[in-house]
Amino acid sequence: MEKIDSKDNYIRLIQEYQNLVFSICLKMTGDYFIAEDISQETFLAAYRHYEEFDGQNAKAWICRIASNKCIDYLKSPGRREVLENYDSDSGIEIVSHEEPLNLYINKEVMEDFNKECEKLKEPYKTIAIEHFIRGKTAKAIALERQEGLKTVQTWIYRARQMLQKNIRLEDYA
Amino acid sequence: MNYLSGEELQKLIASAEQDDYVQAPPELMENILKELDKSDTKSGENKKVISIEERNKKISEYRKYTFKVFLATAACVILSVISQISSFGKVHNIDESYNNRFEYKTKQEVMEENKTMYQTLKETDLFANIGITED
Repeated sequence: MEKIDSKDNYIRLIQEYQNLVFSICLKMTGDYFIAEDISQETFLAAYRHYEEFDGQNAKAWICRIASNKCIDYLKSPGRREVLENYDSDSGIEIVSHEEPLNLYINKEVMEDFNKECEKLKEPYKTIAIEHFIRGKTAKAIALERQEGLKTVQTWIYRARQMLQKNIRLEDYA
Repeated sequence: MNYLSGEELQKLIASAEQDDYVQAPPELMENILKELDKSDTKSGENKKVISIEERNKKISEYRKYTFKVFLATAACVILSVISQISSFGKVHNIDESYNNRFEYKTKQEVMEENKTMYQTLKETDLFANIGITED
């Protein structure tokens, strides 16, 4: 594989491995939005550190970055803080960061995520399903629904906020 | 929790590829490219990522421009040399025509002419008419 010395090569790298990287992140974190953030960080790190890449196995290289970032996230004090906060509210058991890595089943994670989308009120429910589950862009949804792009972007943003909040509560309740 | 070994990573990749392949969020790539632009601007690096086609296009444009400048410079030099040569010829011709325009007379010839003129005036009594007496 060529080094990332141009935008085209970089875009090609993202296109080729974005689903795999996202799947790995989802499997390791069990959270759609965390997986999205870590996937993004993975590709940004790949761009910044491409000089360290030997050009041999891009898939292994990018997946290594993703898995390391997921482990960093799972060990991060920020995450422990969230867990501790939820513990004090709901009395759940704190998961020790010294425990072995648990992998989630993506199908189940996505089913739960779908259920959370279904729970939202309109128009956020439809928007969340179209965007997060069916993978339609804000532009495509705006065109289909004959709505302004900004309006759809705002709906997506709000749906995301609500889903993030609800999923965290579900996870730690 | 330690980082994955090579074998564990391979297992994870195989598992993600076979059983749990999930489509990435639709705007993931767009967000990555936006973040990249933002971070480049923030860090003050003027490293702009451009495609190979764009780079090649820019290089060929630059070469064309350089070639045009070279041609223009060469044309200027040639024109100035030619103009020098031709103007030298023209000045030379002007000198010749200038010399041809005048007839140079000897002192003797001029005095002869004046003498003839004087004689004519005298014969026509022109001096007397305008009040000049011959002394």
